[in-house]
Amino acid sequence: MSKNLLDANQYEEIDKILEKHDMSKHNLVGILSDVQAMSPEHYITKEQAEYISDKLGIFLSNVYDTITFYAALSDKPKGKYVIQICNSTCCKVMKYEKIKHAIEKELKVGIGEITPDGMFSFEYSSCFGACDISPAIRIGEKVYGNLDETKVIDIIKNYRGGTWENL
Amino acid sequence: MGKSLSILTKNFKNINVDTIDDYLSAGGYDGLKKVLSLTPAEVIEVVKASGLRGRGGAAFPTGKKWEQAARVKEDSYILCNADEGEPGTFKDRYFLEYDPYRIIEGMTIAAYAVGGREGYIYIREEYGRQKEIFLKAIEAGKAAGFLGDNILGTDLSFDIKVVSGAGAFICGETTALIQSIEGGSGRPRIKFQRTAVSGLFNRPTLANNVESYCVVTTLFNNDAEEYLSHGTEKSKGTKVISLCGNVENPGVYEVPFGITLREIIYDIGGGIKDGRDFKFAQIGGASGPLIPKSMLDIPYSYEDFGKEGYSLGSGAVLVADDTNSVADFMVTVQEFFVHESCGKCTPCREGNRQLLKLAHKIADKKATVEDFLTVKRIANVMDKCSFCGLGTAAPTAMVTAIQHFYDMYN
Amino acid sequence: MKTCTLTINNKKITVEAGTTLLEAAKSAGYFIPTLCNHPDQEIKANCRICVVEDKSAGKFVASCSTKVYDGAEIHTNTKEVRELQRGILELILANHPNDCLNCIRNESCELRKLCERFHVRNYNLNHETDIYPIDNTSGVLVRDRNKCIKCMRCVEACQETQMVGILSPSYRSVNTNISAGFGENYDETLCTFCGQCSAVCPVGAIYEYDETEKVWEALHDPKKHVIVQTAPAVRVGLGEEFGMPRGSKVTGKMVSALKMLGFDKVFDTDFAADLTIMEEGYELLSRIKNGGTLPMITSCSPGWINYIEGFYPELLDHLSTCKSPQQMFGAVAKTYYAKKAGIDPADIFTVSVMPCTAKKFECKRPEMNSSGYRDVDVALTTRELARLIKNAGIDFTNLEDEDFDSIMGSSTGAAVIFGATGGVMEAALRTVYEVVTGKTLEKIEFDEVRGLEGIKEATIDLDGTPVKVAVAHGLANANKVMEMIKNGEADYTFIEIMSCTGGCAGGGGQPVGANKSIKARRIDTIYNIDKEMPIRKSHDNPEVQQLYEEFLGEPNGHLSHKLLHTHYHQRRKK
Repeated sequence: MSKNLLDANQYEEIDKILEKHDMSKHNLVGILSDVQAMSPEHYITKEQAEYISDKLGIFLSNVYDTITFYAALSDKPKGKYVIQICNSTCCKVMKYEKIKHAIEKELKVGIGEITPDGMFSFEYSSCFGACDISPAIRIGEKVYGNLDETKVIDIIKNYRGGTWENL
Repeated sequence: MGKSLSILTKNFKNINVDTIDDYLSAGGYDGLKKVLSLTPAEVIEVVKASGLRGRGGAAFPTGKKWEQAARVKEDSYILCNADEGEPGTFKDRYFLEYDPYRIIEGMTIAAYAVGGREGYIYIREEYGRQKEIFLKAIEAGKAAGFLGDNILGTDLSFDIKVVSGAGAFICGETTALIQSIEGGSGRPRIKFQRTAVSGLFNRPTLANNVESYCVVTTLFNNDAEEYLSHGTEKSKGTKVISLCGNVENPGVYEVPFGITLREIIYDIGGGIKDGRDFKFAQIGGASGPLIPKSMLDIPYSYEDFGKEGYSLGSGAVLVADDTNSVADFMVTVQEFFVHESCGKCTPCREGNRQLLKLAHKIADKKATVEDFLTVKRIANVMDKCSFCGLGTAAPTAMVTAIQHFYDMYN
Repeated sequence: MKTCTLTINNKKITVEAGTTLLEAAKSAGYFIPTLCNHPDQEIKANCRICVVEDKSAGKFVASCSTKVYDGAEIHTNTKEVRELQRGILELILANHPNDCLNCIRNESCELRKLCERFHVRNYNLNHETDIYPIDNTSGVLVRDRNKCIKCMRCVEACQETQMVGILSPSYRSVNTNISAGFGENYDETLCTFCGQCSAVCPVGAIYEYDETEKVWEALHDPKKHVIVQTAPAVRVGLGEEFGMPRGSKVTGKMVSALKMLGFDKVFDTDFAADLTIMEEGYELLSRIKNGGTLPMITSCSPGWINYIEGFYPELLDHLSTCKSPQQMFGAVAKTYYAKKAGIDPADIFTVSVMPCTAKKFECKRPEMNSSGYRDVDVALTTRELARLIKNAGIDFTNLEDEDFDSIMGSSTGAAVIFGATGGVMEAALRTVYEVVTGKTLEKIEFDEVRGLEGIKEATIDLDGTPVKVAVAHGLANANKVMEMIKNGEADYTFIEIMSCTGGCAGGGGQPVGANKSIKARRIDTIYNIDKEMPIRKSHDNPEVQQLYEEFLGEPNGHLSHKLLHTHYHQRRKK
């Protein structure tokens, strides 16, 4: 994230998000999700958390709690495309490990790591309800199912090549 | 498709949900119209008589829950739990995407029956597409006068807010869901009073699962008679199941209570894929028991499985063939619980940690007889002392695995 | 009053409706084991060790969060209940470091006491502990997350009781840990160091930064002239560390023990408390007369000072410029006393014994050196003094009483009541009344400012002039008062604020395991000591009079300002 360019704007952006959520403490999860979405690396910085804590009158320690409690929120930067592979029960019997190995081989990173160019990060996910098309992965918000080793490599290559329009 | 039905699920992939028109043509809102001609007490009687039990997994009698909520004079929040997180479960996803208006209608019926004006639906973060569809449906419903003030020209006013989860299975537990909507982490809360009396924002709250609301809608429209003609004595009607795993035809199916797992797996599911053999099934998600071949002919009903001490849970039916190892599968189950436990109470936080270690030991073929006894001991502590249902149910898979597959070295 | 009749272990009892099973069992003579439960806090029900069998309902329930009902049949000691409780204890131990031999809490640890109760000798669970880095950066409080049992008591103390909010749970499942967030250590936050977290922690996860070795070093150094001062609340708390009843008065034994430890002079912080009243009383009168910032707020509680500097810096002008008694003592010791005793102040080492953890922060403040040296070298908590005494093998409970040394050892009843909430206010009023009216107080006690209510208000009749005052204790109440001032709703002249509930008697450095009723007992003893003192008003303290005559001149004079007054600044996070 280019600090200089976004520094000035980001607090205006956050103010807009806070207003959209009625400046209400109750909407903390929604606010944090939206602030996270501002970042191409899908995370919330300490400065942003302090700003939110200040504006909403919530302890910073509680804002941090919320960020770290939920799997969809992060205080640490991720890749541009976050690849999540389900390792829960259905995908287990559908042998998700084969897909996992294929991804690891293609990206040359393991679970919990980010590719050196910052394009992809790879992590496990709990079941996201795509069991009818298992084994499945999520890349960002998109779900890809009925995977085999070839298909999943194709998908990743398409992201790399920018052929598919994705955020 | 074999012995599956199409009553609750009749609109799936059959109607366009961009507008409310198709839904109306298919008999949509006939239910609410009927409801508005009855008194709230009469409506609740119908729900009670149907024997409907919570479809999220806890299986609490819905009519009783509504009765408790109606007894409270103050307006109740009408909550829909769409945080479907039980592994192997995806039926609510279908309702959200293919029949959103049925959910809305069911929630509106609840608002009338127990007294409520504000509804919330908590949709898991991972169902982003379904959330957009549901938001559009709310708008369409409002535009057509089925939400908002003076619905169908009556005093009934009802609106629904959509709240997104953020990746926490525990938020499917009602008090944790409420905590999440109130802002911040979703850890379960002590219930000094039942949710019907004090729930969201300490106000009376009625919380039900997506499918439960859909059944309610059906109980009052023209499909009611057909729906109630199926099922068993204590489990009337049909259940929407999520069939997945090593079967030919994974998917969402509607089955009559009383069907057997064998019929579900072989007739509806097309049998085990690639010509392999059945090894075990897990019903009700990761929180559910392992079912061996010998139990495949037990009728799929609350009472028949209840006799074995098992719950049907969320309606997930996960099938595993003989390429799977029960011991490895247990590691997967325990990893899920260690990942999703909220960490608040000792039995669940530390118990799941210990069970994962034991599952690894068993899978590595290093377990002793004492280890198996320790699993039972920890399971008992978790079952009796956990703060909420996650901890209570978590050891079920391992306990039943030991029960049915003691020789887990395959 | 509606009642409920139930049986506990087949014993029929009747209790008030709304009582928990835990409380009901206690009244029937059974202590159900607990860990997360704290009588002054919300019911948490997260440790689950208080599980009992509700035979009538056919289930097992947490007794702390289950209310009684008519006809309930409760069993607390069946084989299964005991096995479940033991199972929970073993689950906690499986994640707890085996550090009892080294642990600072090994005598007072609630977990260790339960192990004794359940005869846990060994268990067959997989032992897996955490490896969080220990936070000992502040030099005041130490946080060891590896010992945390996630009871959440510290979180409630910090967020609700004190409304400072540094501590919160974070993450979930086995990664749940209490933190300030974003990897911040105590010294990077606006923690007030009130130490209430350490006072409620059942185990050794949060504790005082122990400085007893520094004191030993000074005591062993033949070149050092080591003097000690003891705060009012210490003399009603220290005895508890030796098994004496809660709130026992141990002034004489404490002095005796300090002399046996080898302190060259055993002085009394109470002397400086009387001095503080002189300075603060005249400061108040001056502000009233000359239109200074009102309401004026007391400044002797360092936890409170840290709080206002961090959260209400714009209102700093309301604070009295007086230092706390601890710091006034230090400045006077290394100037006035040094001169009179003919000792080079460079060789004087001042130790204070305080019921307080924040005093460690206070004595280390850069500006606290008006004597030309560190005015106070080390501030120990009551708990650390007990450690010194035990280390020296002194038979505390059987000691004869001894008296404080002069010329900084005599004090008044007004001084000792500093240890109770409302005490500083009352002490100030006793002096201000007589100075302003020129009359002698008929009734010395100002009952209106006593008691444990969070915020107390009173209008004092200063011979016809009404003066409105307020007293607050616990930082959540300080917060309320500050908001009132901010909104222009605080029409008080003088406000006393103490950081800890109960005042210093309930300080963060006092013996652990205290609760409201124990604090009340300590406070009762303090007021009894006051009643029995021959002199009960600060301005009548002969040693204080001597100090002014021979050295300071007059209250708020030039030398007083140099040595006994200070200034404040906004605290920012690092």
